[in-house]
Amino acid sequence: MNSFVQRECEILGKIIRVSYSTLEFDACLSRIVGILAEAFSTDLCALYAFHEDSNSFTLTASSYRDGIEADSSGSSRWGGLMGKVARSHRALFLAGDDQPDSNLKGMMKELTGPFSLALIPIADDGFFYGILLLYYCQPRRFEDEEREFLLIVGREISGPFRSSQFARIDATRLAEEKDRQANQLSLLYEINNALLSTMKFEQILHIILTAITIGDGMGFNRAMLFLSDERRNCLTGMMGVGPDNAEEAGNIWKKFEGKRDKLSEMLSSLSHNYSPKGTNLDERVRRVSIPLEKEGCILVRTVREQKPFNVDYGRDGLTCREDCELNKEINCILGSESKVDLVSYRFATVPLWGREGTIGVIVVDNLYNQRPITEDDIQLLTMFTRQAGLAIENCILYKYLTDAHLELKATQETLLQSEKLAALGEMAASVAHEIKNPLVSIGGFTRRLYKKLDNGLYEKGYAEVIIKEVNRLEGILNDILSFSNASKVVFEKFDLNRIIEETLIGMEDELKSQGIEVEQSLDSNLPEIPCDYRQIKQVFINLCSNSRDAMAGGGRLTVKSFPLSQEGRDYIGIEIGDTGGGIPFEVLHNIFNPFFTTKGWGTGLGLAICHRIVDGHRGVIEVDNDPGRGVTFIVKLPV
Amino acid sequence: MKKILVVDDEENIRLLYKEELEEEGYTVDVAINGQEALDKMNTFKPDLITLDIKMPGMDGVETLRRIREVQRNLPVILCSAYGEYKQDLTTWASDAYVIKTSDLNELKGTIRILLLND
Repeated sequence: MNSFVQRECEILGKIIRVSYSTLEFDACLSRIVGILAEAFSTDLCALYAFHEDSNSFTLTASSYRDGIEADSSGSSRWGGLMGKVARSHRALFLAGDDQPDSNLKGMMKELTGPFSLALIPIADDGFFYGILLLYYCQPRRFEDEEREFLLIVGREISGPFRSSQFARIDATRLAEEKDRQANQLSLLYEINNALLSTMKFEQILHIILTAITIGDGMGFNRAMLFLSDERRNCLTGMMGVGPDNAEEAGNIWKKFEGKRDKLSEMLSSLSHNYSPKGTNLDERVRRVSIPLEKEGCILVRTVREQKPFNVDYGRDGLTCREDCELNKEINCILGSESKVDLVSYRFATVPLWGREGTIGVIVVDNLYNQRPITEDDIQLLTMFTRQAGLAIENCILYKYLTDAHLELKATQETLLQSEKLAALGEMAASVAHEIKNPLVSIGGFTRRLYKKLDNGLYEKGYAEVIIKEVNRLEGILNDILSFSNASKVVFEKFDLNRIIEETLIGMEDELKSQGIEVEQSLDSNLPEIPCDYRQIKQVFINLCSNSRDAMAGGGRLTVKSFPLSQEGRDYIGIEIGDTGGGIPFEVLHNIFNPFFTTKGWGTGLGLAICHRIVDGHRGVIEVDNDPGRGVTFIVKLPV
Repeated sequence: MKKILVVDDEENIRLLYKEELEEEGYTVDVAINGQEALDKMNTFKPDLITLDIKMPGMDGVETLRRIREVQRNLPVILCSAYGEYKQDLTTWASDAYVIKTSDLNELKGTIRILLLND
């Protein structure tokens, strides 16, 4: 008895050692079969693995004497018995001299001659892995101790079976998981590549939404992007990508079918050649603006709680209200236009993360094919939106920088321009000043000469030419000096109407001689305003002179004064209009530039001086040009 | 006969003013700078002074100030190539401000008015 137990222990020890060795499953079973065949002196010892799905056995290991072979399928000779064991999970012992019970008689028809066998289930905790067979060509009794021992062995051998099965299941599952992750990673990589291809805001958004909707990407039917506008405290629709109806969806899907371009290339080229602008969905999304205080809105919650929502409309019940902006604009839930089946309609929201918290939200749905949105989908989308959020944020920052840069550049140019003008003015003034005195001498003495010369002498004509030319030069010098001094203003209170009247009286003769009719309409109730009399008069003189020059063949000069209010400030407006044909469109932008002129004479400083003077008075000068008819200048001076 | 002192650093201007004003019937003397003008006030005793602003050394504005210290009511006309001093408050101590031009009619008119008031 003792020796029997000791032997059992030895065998069991060997089997356990083999079971927990690092041997491959098949090698491990062969060893075990070898050990048992030797220990029990069997004619045949075999292990059959059970396959639950096909309800069949396969021989996995055997050890036999010459002339006896194990049935590799395990079906023909004792198949019926093995089936019984598989169903009952109970061992079956047949000794040659036993009377098999009537149940087994039918199954043993083909078994001829004296033999004995043991079929031991390999099982643990009710899970059945296979059968251990011990077969003898002679009758053999199985002692109780042996039976018990074999049952223990059967339980013990289930170890390797179990690990092999788990390993197989795990491997398959892991492989699938790995595949999926690899796909996701390469997808994210492709999308990222596309995102890196541009810094343009609209393009970035479009790439993001296309990646979400395109079949090779995440394959949602529609995607919409909203950004939080902190200034206005609301979520603003930025873009929507997706077909407007099921028919269009079908067409688009068909178009992309079989196209196997690299996703990133496709995305980049798409965004260069195509814009979602003009589609119904996009237009509608851009109209949406949801206050960030709005209670119950799933979009607002997504931003606030910084987590995705996968909304099954049928399951979750009413999560949105009928007055929802999104609903009104894009029929996200209750839209009748899109004939949403409320029971199966699902959508999901995913926050867009920036460096510090959420910057917006992306909404996706499968409106047209009604494919359920899985947690896997959400997970991938979340991974993607983390990158997308950063891309958008970068792009916004970049835009800010670019804008700031452009603004700086513009400011610098303005500064440079005014600096240039100032330098030019200074120089012109000093030159003009130096020229002025000699010119006064030349002109003055020529006038003296002219007076002394008798009428009719041709020398008198020469003197006259000099006088006229000197006058012209003095006019030019005055212009230049006015321009460079326009910023120096002496403010006193004046009645603008009086300045206008004085200007018109001074010009009365020349206007009349040119056949120009003057139409005055001055508001007599205007307040006096602080201004530099001489400068403002110069403005009126310059404007009226331009009008006069434009109406060489006669016309009508209209002069009006009136009070007006603009952006909460009171102004006095003065209009000086002519019927001189207006300013050609192509030169209109130049008219206030110094030294620009369309006349064959003059310095081109007239309007530039007006502009500077009015600027110096914190006023505005505007042009109302009516090409072919005339032009009206409007001067607005603050009260 | 009214006496006019013409102060200008430019010789030709002095000559022009002198001849033109003499033709108008005034007695005219000239000074080439502020200091000489102050000296001639005592010897020539002018009824009116035309004073160029931009002169080397003592300029017209400073000369005007000195003149006013001596003779508060003597009419003085400031002349300059351009009105750049017009906003300088010290020039307001003058009786008139005339911008130089080859056409001396404005200057003559101003002189006539000032001497008439005198």
